[in-house]
Amino acid sequence: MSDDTFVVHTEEAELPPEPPPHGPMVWARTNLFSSVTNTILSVVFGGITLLFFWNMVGFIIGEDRRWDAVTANMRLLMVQAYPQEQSVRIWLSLAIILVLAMATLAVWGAGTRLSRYAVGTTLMTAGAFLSFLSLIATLHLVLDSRTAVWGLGGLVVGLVLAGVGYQMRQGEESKVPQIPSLMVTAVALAVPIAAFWVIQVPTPILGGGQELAPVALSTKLPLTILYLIAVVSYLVADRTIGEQERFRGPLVALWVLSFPVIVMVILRDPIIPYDLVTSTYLPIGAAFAIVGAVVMWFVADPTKKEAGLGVGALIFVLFLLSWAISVVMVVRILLLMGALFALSAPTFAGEQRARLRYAGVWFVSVVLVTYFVVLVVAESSIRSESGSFLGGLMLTFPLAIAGMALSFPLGVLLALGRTSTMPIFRLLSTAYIEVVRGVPLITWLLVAFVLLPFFLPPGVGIQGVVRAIFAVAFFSAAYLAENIRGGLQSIGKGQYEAAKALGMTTVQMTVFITLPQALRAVIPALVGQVIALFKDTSLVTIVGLFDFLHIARAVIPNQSQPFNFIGVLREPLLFAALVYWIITFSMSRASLRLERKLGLGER
Amino acid sequence: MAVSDKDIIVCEGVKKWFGDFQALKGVTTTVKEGEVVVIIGPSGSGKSTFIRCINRLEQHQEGVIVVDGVEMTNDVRNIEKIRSEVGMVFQQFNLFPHLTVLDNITLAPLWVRKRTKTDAQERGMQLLNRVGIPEQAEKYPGQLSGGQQQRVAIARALAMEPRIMLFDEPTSALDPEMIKEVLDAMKELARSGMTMIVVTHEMGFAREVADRVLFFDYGTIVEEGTPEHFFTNPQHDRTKLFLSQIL
Repeated sequence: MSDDTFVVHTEEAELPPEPPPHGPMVWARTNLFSSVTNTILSVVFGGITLLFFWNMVGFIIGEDRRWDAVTANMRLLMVQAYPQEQSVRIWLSLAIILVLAMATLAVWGAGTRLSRYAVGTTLMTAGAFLSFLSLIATLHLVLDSRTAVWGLGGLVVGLVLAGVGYQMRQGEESKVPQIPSLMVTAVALAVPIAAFWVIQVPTPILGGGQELAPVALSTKLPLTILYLIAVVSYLVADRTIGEQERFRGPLVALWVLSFPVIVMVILRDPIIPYDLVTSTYLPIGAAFAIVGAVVMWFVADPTKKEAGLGVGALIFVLFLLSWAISVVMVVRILLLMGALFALSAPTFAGEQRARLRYAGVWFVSVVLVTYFVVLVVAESSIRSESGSFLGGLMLTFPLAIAGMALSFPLGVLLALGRTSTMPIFRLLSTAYIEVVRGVPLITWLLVAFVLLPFFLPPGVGIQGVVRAIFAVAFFSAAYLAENIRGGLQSIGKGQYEAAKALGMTTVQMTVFITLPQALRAVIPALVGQVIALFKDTSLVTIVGLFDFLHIARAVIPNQSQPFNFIGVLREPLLFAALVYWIITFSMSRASLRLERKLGLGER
Repeated sequence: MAVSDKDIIVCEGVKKWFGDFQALKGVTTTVKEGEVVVIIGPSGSGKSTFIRCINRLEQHQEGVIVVDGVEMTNDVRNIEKIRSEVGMVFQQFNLFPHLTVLDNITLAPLWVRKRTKTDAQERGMQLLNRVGIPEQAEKYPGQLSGGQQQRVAIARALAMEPRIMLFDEPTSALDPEMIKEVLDAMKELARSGMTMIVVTHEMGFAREVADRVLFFDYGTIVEEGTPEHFFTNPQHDRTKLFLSQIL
């Protein structure tokens, strides 16, 4: 072999180098004690962390803690004064939501697969954390010379979990994703459900003091049934549904319908005023549905482009005029809806089939809206001392969901308005956003409750919860609008040009091209806003609504009958914080999932 | 390559300014139905601006542009009608990243042309076959190579069944080994009788496919003629200099 030969290419691949040494000691050396500064920082912050958990655990298991104030008032915290004999309505609502959720998971094919390694890591971390807390607890108990059975039990369970996790991580094939993540969730949820049947919780004794007692059957049995319903309905949906695509539209529609049905029909149990329905709502609804369907069929003709705009403008003028005379509210609502339908007719215009479908959508919408208005007008059969059938966590959730559902479209419209080329929309949107953002939410809530009645037309009264929903929604919309505007600005000029070059109208371009991309781009910011809105609902306490935090903060510490919880503030507050955290943390996890799924097409 | 006698695009004294900078200084030309016109010229000579004026992505300020008998004015309705008759392919592809390849192609036929879904999808698959990538229909643009993306962009424009196709430097953002697949798709299109205006630096393509070559510089047409005339016997000094630099 002479010197000028050189190897162009080798058939055999070389073996990878020996992996560097690893293990907890190596990890600690490289990450915690790699230099003098690092060592000092690790020791200082490690000490602070230790101190925090030492005091925290000490507080939670302290001998004079009144956790019985939380368990005895669990019902109050969750649903406030909803009559106990009607509880089945609440469980039914939860069951409906669960079945829908499971069907959604099955149809959307949610559920990635996790590797044994990943599950093992989580188990190991959770186990280690549990043993750490239990160790602190045991030390506290021993120092106070109390029995340390619970602490030692926790320590053992934690160590076992960590050991199982460690074992799961072994072996090369452990890194292959093979465990369905939904199965992991199901097993993880089974643990607290099973625990309800085993553990004993602090319960107050009439006449003073507390004891450990099993969880009430009226809590653990429905929860277990709900859990089984969830598992079974997921399995049934997953096995029976073929052609997932076809079920997506109906499922979305069911979700949209489920909220008003659950709140207004199941929870509120309206007493329908049949004489009023036959004399007023039925004729009005029928007239709008039929005449409107013909009008919509007429304007959804692609050759009559200006007709839709003209008819829409005309109906809108009628809507404005309707405020000058005294008519039932439903007429105004239907007129506004008619104007929107007519204005968007050119976008959905098409052949005979498209026109009939458009008229059909109008017809169904009118029926639903009229029915909903009847529900609102009807009295509720649920009698509770606070005046509202919603309270506790069962007020917090509807407030948040309705607030989001309202603020989202409004936020989109404001964002589009602010980026619009039309000065009037831009000016109005900018003014709205700047004014609403510039004033605290508490002020808006007070405005809605104290000032609003003076501005409403005579004869229009709005219930407290609805006012709160509007205040929260209008406030949140201003923030959402700014987030969405950020997304709209991130879209390149090329996307607009491509859409225009294909002959799309501005509306089509917005609906199909720019808005979907803008919303995807700002999912983290949107979820942040949703979480903020959820937590902001706690401010309604200022206007006298009994939301979850209000009960934890003010109702329980003032309770003297039948148990004396006067002045017990810290335990309910800590519990409330935990519940808020669990809910918002789940939201943030779900959004990460959504982001990854929707990000599929990007780049 | 049957070029008819009918004028499909007529431009007279088209002028366009960006602020104080005059990008077009009175462009006058006529394109006949079925003709393939290639526009070449140095950067900043106004060639892209010119074809963007034809579907009014840019608005000219003076002069007249008549496309398929309709004058380009500020009347919105005319603009959308013309744009749906004029397909455009961009240098940066500009596919919609949140839609699959097939949805990219069928979106405009569904909503602008009001086709039925099955109809649009069938036609979309035919077009993907025509540009040679039917197997990519369910992928997202981000999962395709540049050449494949540009072929999808061509299929997307063709799905509207346009009478004219505009190409704005379609191969300039591509790796060299992908240029051929895009040019092949364009050649096939030219042979099928489509009216095309192509801004490009691909001289081979101009020589092989063009019916006529326009040389742009400083916002005007400096020289025009058949490819033979243009590449073998250019008249103008500026053209000679340009050709000597790139050939």
